[in-house]
Amino acid sequence: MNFKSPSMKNILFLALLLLVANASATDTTYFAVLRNSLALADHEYSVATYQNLANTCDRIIAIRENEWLPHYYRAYAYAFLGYMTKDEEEKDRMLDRAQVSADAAFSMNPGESEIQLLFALICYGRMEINSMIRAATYFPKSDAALERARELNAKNPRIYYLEGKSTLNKPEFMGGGAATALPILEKALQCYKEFKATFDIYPHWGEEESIRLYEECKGRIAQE
Amino acid sequence: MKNISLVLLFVVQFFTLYCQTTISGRIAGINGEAVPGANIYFEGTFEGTTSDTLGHYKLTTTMSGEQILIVSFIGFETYYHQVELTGDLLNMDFTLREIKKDLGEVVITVGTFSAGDESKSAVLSTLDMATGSGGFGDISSAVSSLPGTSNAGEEGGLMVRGGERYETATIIDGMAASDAFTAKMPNVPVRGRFSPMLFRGTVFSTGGYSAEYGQAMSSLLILNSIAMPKKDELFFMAHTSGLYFSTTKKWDRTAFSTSTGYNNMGLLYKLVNPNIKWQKIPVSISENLVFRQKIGSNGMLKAMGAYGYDNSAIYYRDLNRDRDVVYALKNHNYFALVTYTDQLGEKWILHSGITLGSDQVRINIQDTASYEKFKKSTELKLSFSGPVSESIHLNLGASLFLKKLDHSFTTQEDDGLFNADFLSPIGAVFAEAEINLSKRISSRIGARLETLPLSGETYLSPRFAMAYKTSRFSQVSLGYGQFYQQAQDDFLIYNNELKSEQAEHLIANFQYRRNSRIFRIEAYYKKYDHLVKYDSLYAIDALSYNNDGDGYAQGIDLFFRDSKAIKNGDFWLSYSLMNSERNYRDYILALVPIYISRHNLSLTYKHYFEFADTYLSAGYSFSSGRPYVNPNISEAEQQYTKACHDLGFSIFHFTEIFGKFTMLFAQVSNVLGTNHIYGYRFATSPDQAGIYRSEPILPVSKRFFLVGIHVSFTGQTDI
Repeated sequence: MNFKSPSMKNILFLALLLLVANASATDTTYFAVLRNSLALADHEYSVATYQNLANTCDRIIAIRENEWLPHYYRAYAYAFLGYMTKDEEEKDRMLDRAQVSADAAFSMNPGESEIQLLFALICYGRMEINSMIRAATYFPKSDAALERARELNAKNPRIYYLEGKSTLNKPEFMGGGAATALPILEKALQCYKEFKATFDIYPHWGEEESIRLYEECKGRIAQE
Repeated sequence: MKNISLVLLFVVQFFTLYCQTTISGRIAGINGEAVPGANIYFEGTFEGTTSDTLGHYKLTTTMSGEQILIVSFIGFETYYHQVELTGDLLNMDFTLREIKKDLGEVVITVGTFSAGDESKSAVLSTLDMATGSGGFGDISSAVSSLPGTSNAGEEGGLMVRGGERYETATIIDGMAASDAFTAKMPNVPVRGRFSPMLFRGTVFSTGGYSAEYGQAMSSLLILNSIAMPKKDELFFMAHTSGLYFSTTKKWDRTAFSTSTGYNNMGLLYKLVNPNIKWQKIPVSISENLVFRQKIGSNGMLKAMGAYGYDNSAIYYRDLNRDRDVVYALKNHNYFALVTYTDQLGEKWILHSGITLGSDQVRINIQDTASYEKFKKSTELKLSFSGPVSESIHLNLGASLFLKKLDHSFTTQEDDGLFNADFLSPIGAVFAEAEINLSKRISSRIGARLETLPLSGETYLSPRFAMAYKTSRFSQVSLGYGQFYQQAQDDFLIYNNELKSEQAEHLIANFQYRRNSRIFRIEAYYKKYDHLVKYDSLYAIDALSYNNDGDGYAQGIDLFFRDSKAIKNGDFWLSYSLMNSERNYRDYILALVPIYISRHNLSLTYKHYFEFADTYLSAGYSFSSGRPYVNPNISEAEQQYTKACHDLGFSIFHFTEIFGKFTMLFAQVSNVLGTNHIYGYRFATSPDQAGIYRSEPILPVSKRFFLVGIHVSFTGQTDI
């Protein structure tokens, strides 16, 4: 065979690709599978798409148990499923699942700032339930998680997105309010612009929401 | 050449098209209800799908031959099904069986209220602890809004389920804090020495507690100090009765805090006209040093040093002589505690600790007597906890407690001088297993062996508790235990050989907890034995003291809290029905102890006003009349005082002053202005007219109030 012929090489490559793509998925990189489910979840914020993402992660974890990313996305999916759930017991259960996966991801990749942000995200979910009792426990915890995320990668835009969101929701006397939140959200937008993901399904959430919050912030300041 | 590869390409494509199999169907529960969100996939592959809201699914694959199809969903049994993939359309419905495991945790709740810690079973928050309406900064005030406690206003502290104040032990970071409350003056309630700001997690046990702890017949107040502060802190607090200043410096793995408090009741007593006449207005100073050091990857060293000073004097009515005498108190208290916790291997945890305590109390009663009590104590403790299997968790340990007491007593009338001292070690070992028999049942079985050389006693106290989950939201628990406590120092100084007092608890409870609503009902029976009896207090003769006393307490405690029904509102109710009789101390027959109210009710409502950044809390408490014996009527028959009603308010307003986080607060008690009478004192002998002179026991003042400011220079104070 003459491999030097470029067309020949291309055809063989194509054939190979088709073979690979159609063969048993165990041979495929799990990235492709995850990419699909993530795209669905990004496209539509619903129980169905996030449960699907969680299930996809479960399938990947069953085969590739030592990769942090599927654990990360499982936690991510259950954290948001927690936000979507009304019943408090159920909410807690979703967040318990998110916590288990976030812990697993952390043990595999302790230096990843994104996982710290998951911890913070779970804390916010916990606080939604009975904030009168829980805020005292979970506010310091979520703050500490944001702080660790900052130590690991101060350029991670999601730190400022979550910080901005929590600041905006806090009463002014506790150091919250629109005026305080605005520069933080500005920083978030700046970081989102500069942020370069190392690979395509690296965590990328929060940008649209940051823009929305930023506008809301400006609106509130204008009103005052 | 080209052609061969093209053929190859088509073969590949054709092969894959030919082999495409689509499986579809519905996933349902046993009753036919749709199971949305189920994971349907081929074993060992990433290929799979999720059922939709109607339980339908559709899965297309290019695989062929025999495959295992898995249907799984959390809370249901996983279904494995062998399929032959032939390239056809397959229709497969699956029925999933629910597993009853997602009942949630089963936690033993019998006799236990936890607050502010991480556990989901927390009943009160750290904020509740810090802002208890009974008295700002007293750790027992929030706890006393829980059922099972008696509101004996002249006593203070925690009196639990028919028990006296001394029957409640305070535990800090696993170690006994033997003088956690200030020294007692007649008719003046004691206060907690430690600021609630120092602690994060609190567990209040009203009985049936773990074998890890002993030397408390009724109850435990378990306080866990802050592990590592969040950030540097600097704040001060100034209020009508004192000043408090605290600073914290945090490094990477180390933290150091200091806090200083000064209390002076002078201003308050000028404004409220107290019932007690003070010869010397109470002044107290407290100093706390806290050090934290992380060691290795999981080790944590905590050290705390505390100093407290109290000085006050009252005019106390000597009813026998019908005149006022000055009753003066001076107290110096030092307490140091060092604990070290680390992980052993994967799952075991080591706890170790040492405490050193010194308590010096000087009391001088004008023209009558003076006492000096000097107590030094130390405790060493070592324990290990960890799992031995998936369902069995062990907690083992040993402790040695040493107490040296020097007591001197001088009577001025007959120049009598009495000196006594003793050294009492108490050695203890304990073992306890937490066993999860099933997802529904959890049990705790333990025993504690204690030996007291002073009284020549060695006893084994068994402890048992179990919880059974009756539904997702409810559970029943049962608890039993035997609890021993060395006779009080006041009696041991006269008779070293007194045996330990003893209580036996039997408790049953039911709890329903759902969506920020908790309802709990608990019934208990408590049997007391070997209580100290004497002919008359301060009798020097050892033989006049014995262990012949006994008694019982029984009752029902109710607790309800709802933090959800009203937005930004939080409500809780406690009610205790208590029945108790004792024949102990100088009682001549079995009587209801004087500190017991049959009915105790406490209602608390807190509301957060968002627009005003303000917390308002209202508390109402009711205690039915307490018994007393009026020798002018009968020595054997008890009279009852009028019931006590108290309505109090607290308000906390959060703001910024010069850009600093500031909290303004005000508290007031007894808004209704009712006159409370806790009981009556009588002279020990009748006067010339044959009448025993008497005096009502009144609150220190009819009404208390506190107005203050808290300024933090480092942002919000972490409460």
